Amino acid sequence: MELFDLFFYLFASVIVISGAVTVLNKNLIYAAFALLILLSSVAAMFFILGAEFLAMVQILIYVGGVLILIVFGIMLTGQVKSVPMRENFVYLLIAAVFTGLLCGLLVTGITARPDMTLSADIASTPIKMLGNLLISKYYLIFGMLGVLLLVILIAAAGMARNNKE
Amino acid sequence: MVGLNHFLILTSILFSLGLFGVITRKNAITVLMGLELILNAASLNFVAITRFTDVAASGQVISLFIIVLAASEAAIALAIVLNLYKNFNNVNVDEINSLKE
Repeated sequence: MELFDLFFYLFASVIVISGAVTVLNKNLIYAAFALLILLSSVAAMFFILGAEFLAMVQILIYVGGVLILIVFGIMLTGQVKSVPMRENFVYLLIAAVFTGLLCGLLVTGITARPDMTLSADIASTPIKMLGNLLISKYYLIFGMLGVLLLVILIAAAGMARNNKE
Repeated sequence: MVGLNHFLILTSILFSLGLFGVITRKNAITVLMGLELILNAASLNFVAITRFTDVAASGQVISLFIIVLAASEAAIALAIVLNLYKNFNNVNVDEINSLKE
């Protein structure tokens, strides 16, 4: 078994287990910590796929930004322990059956087509190529995302402000 | 030998877990966590497809855009959740059903 396969199975199992903990745990802080492990494992997955820059961005923005925001939200709304799922068992059953069916459908669709493997060593994508693509082919999306970030900044600050008239 | 299909199966499992969380949880912040799972599944898919096919680095650029969108979505969602908590005193998505108090 190659090292690549070993790392894949290791991080895949971590991702699935911590994803299940994130979704099923009643304690919100534990769920947030499971989400931390999941996001880091996805970053490791990016790393073994040769996308080092994306792995760093994932850790910086997700773990350093989004997760902190979520923990802030949990603590400011004060509902930490034993946050219920839907108490009705029928809802849970329907949701489980529906998502299980969807997952099975996706997996059968994926396994129906031939697998693609690479025997070569993992070549990392040069960051220069990424930057060139950003300012040539995807320039419009890049500029629009800049405008979007400005709008988000103003809107979030305006909404979260405590305005008592 | 781990190939593209392994990654696709992993991301479909991750997607289904996130969808299950979005459907079953009541707390707005947990719904947001489920959304993060779904977005991560999509972005991992893009990177894996970039790795195993020859589409240059396009998938990685799209994945970068997904990460940026997820960050802005989290900021807005948290601002909305804080406002909901201020007005309704809880963040249960089942009980928040009026536009005006």
